[in-house]
Amino acid sequence: MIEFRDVSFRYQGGVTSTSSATGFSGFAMHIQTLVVDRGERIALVGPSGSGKTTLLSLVAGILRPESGTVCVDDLEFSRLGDTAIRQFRIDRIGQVFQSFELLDYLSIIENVMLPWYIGQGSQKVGSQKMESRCRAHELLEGVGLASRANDRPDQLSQGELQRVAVCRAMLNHPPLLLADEPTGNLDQVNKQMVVDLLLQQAQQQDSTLLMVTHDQSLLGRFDTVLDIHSVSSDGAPP
Amino acid sequence: MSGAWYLGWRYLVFHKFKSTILIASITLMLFLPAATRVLVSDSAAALTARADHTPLLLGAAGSPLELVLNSLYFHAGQPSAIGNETLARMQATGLGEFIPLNTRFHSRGNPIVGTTPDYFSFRGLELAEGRQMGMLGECVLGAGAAARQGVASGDYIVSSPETVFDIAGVYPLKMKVAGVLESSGSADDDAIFVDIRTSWIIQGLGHGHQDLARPEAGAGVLSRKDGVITANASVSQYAEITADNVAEFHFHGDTGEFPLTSIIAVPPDDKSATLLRGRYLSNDEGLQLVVPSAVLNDLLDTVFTVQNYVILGLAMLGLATVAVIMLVFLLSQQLRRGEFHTLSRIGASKTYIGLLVTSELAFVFVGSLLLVTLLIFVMKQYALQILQSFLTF
Repeated sequence: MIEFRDVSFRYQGGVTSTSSATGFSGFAMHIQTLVVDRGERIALVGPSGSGKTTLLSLVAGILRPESGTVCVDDLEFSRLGDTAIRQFRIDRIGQVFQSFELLDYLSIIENVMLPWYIGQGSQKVGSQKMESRCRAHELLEGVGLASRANDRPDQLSQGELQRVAVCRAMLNHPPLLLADEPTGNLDQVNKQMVVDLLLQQAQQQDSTLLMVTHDQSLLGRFDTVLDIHSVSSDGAPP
Repeated sequence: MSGAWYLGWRYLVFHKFKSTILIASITLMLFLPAATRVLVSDSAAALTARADHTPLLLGAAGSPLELVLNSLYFHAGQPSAIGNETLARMQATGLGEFIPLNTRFHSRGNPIVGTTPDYFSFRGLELAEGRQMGMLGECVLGAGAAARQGVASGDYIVSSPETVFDIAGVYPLKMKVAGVLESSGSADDDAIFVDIRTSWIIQGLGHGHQDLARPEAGAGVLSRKDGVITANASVSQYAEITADNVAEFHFHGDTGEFPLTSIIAVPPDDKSATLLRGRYLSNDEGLQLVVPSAVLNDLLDTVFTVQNYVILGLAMLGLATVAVIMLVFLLSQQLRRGEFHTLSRIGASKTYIGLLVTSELAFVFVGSLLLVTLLIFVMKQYALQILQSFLTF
């Protein structure tokens, strides 16, 4: 499902990281080998600034490695153009972020449908809108938020917002689910609820789940706990 | 609607206040120069159309513009009066048709125009209801005046007194509405037309009162001597002309000296027009014969020059507005970096995000253009009235 071979990455010049962390100028990482099988549920741990978010961004094709190969679902990113990678990301990868990142000017159901709105231009299939809306509604129903479908994000609690973000990630039945500290802004009850939801969705879809977390209490819920230091070395490849 | 366009639309709808301000700013920026141009060109066309159909105008020496605006639109200041004998002298030349006008009086804001029946055929005015004025004290109203006064044929209107607190002044005259004209889309719509002699009665040059030779007037008669009857103020004057008292209305003094505002001259050919103009080239009689279209063209030349300066000023203001709008927009994009980053991470390309921003701009500009079109359309309906209100000095 995910395969890294001799991958090197370095942030060039200023901050280009997708992470909210700053001061990444000059940060470098090297991954000799990383293989994740389909359907695996992995918790990715490591101290702040160790490259967890960078790893997720490499998997999502948001960042491109300096060298080495990144394969996801048997597709080698280095062989794909930007457009193809973007389309691949819309169709095959669901992402959940720490700060939810819902658009305040869209309703809850429109936020869940955001991947459809973004991908619509390339798919050219108008009739899919209804299917997409039904799917979004079904997902919201699954997390108990169907009645809030037409509300705005600012009318929901933090836990509810993250549940909506999980629904957005699941819209296109992605075989790969990436979650970057999705419980970082939540209380204990909501943490458990969101992790339950991610694991449940991943199981239902037979999706691979790669989740970054600092919360030790959640690690027992995953098939594998992967320390970033066990796969990545700082700096240039040896 | 594609995804980017839909998101752009939703963004604008969500930020209603910001969108409204943007649309209002751009609308004003586009509307003001366009409106100035449309207002001036439409008004110029309307003004010159009426002036072009008025070959020559004779009035007292003074401002030709005031004379033309007063005689054609019944607005502007009242020019000095000319004597009624001038009309007779012009008619004696046989050089055309001559129509007197006396525009001094008003009734509740509508001008009372004293004239002759020739005026109606000259302007092509048709009756919508009732009949032409047949006797002293009757009037015919333009469609707008009738609507404004809320009267129809058979009703009555009263002339407005010029000096309300002058007990020796002229009393208002109650006039019967004989007919109402069809709307002509001109200044005639707002006018109240009366016979020229009725306008003199309004002015107090003619009046009617009880016959002092009759015995019932005895209480007011002070003396009867050598056929001269002297009466006191208790002799009642009529404030309304009716079929019963019309015979008792009479004028004092020489009617040749009675006032006219102007005389419209309609020569049958260019030769007659030239001869007429030749007669009034010198200012010896205190008169001027003007070609209304030439007078208005002089005015419009000035208006067009002013218009160009106004548009230049508005263009500079527009540039400043565009700069401010662009600044606001760029700052807004900075604030939305997080949103664009999220879209990009989910899979939106730079083109997609560019289209999203472009769609917002497009909606704002299209909204503004629609609003400008609507405003221009509404304004065109009132272009002439707006200009006339500016010209009322």
